[in-house]
Amino acid sequence: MMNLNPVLTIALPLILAFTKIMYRRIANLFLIVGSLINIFVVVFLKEGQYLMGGYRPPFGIILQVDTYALYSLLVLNVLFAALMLLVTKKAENLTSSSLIALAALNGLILTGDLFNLFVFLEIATIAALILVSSIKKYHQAFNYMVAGAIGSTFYLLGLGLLYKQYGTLNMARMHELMAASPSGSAVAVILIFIGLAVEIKLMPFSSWAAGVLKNADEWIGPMIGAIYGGVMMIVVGRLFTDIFVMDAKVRLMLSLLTLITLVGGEAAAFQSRKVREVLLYSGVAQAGLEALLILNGYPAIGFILVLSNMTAKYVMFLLAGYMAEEAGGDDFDRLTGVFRSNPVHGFAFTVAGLSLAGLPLFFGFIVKLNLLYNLMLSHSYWLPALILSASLVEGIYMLRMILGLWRLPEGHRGGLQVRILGSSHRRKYAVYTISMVLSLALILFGLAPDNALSIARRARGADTDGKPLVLITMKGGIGQ
Amino acid sequence: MMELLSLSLLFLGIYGLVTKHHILKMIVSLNVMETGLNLFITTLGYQEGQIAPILSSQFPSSALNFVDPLPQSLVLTSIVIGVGTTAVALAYAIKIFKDHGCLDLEKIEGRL
Repeated sequence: MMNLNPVLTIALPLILAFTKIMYRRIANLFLIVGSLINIFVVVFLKEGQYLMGGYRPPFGIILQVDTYALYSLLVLNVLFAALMLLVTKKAENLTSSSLIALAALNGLILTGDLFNLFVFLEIATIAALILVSSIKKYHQAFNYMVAGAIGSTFYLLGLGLLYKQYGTLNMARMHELMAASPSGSAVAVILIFIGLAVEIKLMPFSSWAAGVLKNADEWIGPMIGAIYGGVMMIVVGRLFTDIFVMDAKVRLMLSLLTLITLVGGEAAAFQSRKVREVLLYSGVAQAGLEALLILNGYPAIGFILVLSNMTAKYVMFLLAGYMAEEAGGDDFDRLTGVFRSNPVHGFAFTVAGLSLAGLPLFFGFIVKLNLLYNLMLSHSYWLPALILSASLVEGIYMLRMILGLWRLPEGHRGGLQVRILGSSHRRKYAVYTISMVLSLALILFGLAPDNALSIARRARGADTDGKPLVLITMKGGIGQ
Repeated sequence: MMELLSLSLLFLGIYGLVTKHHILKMIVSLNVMETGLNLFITTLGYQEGQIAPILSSQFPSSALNFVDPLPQSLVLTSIVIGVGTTAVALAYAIKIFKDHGCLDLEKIEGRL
């Protein structure tokens, strides 16, 4: 079977991003073809370490393809390509930024070097800033930029302290040295977590997200709310499961931050009366839960929850963006009964919402059921109680929103006149297909979850008999 | 000593970013913060009595009398990224001024 180099997933979008400048008329083609080629490359990737420039670690940079990276890349590139198929006139000017974003997000998942990760983080953030400017809320985008800059400063400061202590930036070497002598690294680990907390939208560092995602269109919502959020959480999963060694006090301190996010996010979503605002705060709460699981030794369930939520939020932000565009806003009152005129979208939105809330039959339910089962087995009771309470609140506001979008106002006959898709047939069928395929995937994985769960366990080392999982190694690369 | 000074600069920048509402002052604070961070990382590789890691006719071999070059290369990358971020920030500042006629975020958000 063909074996492609993972650097292609970074290099190809970068090359296309700059080549596109000379061929503006076919910019969309670059975007679509580039993202589809990336899926092809990911499908033919083989697990292993790949040296960059022939330099062996810890001196050279490596790209790491393990089960975790492979499935993360697959979900990222499929969701990204699907979004590119919906590309509109508005997005034509954003072709280069989108391709650069794709390159950076792939790099974030693949890299085995902590400084290289910082570089990809910054490239991803700058690309996101340009993408976000398309919603014309410049002062909100500026707030995002400031939050991102403070976050990356904290990350780099933490990284500097770790380098001072351990003398390496290679992830595998860092893990070995930290495992041998973890004391003294607490401040650095906390600084890095805070730096990443801005990107994964943990409270109180998530205020920028409110400004951006409350106004997000069908392009920015899935991109920033689902894809970026998901990839950043995958990075957190990598660092705080495979690389950093934390003592119980640090773990507790960071867990408190995630708990505040879980509770605060659910409360804010419960109070909201706007579709995108509900999705935004629900996403914040879910980020808290995902980070809580990653920090507390449930990386496999955390990983699958990230992928499941990424898919569900993608569908919901996509459809919410279209609804808001066509209806001129996203208040519940304005959109009451909108799904009567748009049943296909209503079905996809409902499935994604119920999966996100963790209701039966859907993938989110299986994930949460597994989580509660595992927590009970480990005689942990406060965490299941908290997760159940949060899921209950989420179930209530999600059902309230979904029922409102299906129910016609009193005295109204027939469907509302809000058509989600406007007149473009290409967009219409693309949105139909993408939202239906993704929501059916959430049902399918909900009905037959064994494969997905076993991949997640393999990806996060749950099948290694409790041995710590360090898949990034110091050995030479492929062909060495 | 240099570490403390550079950290003071970094936190001065963060203080400016958090307390100021004028966009240009925030961009200046952002740069002060980045400079503090870059200085701090550079000091991590500094060693008393060692020289810059550059091969020359005077120092033709890579002996052990060089300071650690890695923090310096990190700082170079960080400076380039900082320039990019500042450029984006200034572009936003122009757009915000065109839209709202002022650069005070508090006033702008108060009007909305």
